[in-house]
Amino acid sequence: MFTDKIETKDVAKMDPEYQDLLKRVLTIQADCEIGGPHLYVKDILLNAPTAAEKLIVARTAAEEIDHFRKMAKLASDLGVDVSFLLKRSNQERYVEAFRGIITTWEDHAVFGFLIDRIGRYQLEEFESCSYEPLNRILPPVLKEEEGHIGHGQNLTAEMAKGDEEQRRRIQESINSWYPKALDMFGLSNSRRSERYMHWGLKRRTNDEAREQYIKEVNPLIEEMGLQVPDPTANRKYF
Amino acid sequence: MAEAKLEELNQHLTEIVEALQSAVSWGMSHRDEPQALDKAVLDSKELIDQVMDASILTW
Repeated sequence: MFTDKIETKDVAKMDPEYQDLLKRVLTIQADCEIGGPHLYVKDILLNAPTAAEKLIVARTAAEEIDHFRKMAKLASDLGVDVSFLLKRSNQERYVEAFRGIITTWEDHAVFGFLIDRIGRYQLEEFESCSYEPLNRILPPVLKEEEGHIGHGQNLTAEMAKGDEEQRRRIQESINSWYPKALDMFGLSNSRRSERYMHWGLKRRTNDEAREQYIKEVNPLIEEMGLQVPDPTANRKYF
Repeated sequence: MAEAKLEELNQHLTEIVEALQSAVSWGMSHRDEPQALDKAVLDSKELIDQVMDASILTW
């Protein structure tokens, strides 16, 4: 296990595998950050139920754009240009959960509740990681991500208290996003995940992170009076 | 994209984010004024669209 702390100037001297994995993870993280606004801005920003909610959608997008900017800057400092991610179609995103479009307020709420939470898990992987510039940008990014999760969770809980039709709709969104969320952790026996851990760029295996997520999120869904979907249904990666 | 252009993109995105946060804060502080709120929402949308349609890359 690699325990040194690396600065930008030292990266070129590192093992090529380290350089490749670091550049790859920064590119994917940048793609996920800008992939969020591309999912919900078009149909949700002007159609949110109140003007205050519209502004909260705008603020969330602003924060995700800023997270993209920070990841893009780190990549750029390593000679990697990720500006192409700005004009990439949703269908080309690295992570499947970002390949569609969000058209309902229920999906927007559950996206914050379930998918932004995975964003937090991904960012937590980098806490105390071997690449110091990445460590340094994390605290405000994580704090803002917590805000997105909390808002999505509150909206979901609120809708779960609604009438029968509202409850049916929010349960449907949970059923749709839950398997996508679990798949976002990747294959349990991923060789690349082991190499990330070897180089101090991740802390947990995909399976460990997924299990922790399930333990955290299932009780929250149950507390809302909603049903936890079968964790093996509609899944692609185990 | 050349290093100088990437630095320029970083600067543009910084400015967009600052302008967006400013529009949102202004809107939130005028919650009781529907016209002001609508203006803040539309200003925000216009700023976000510059990033979403990647027109920022052609600045």
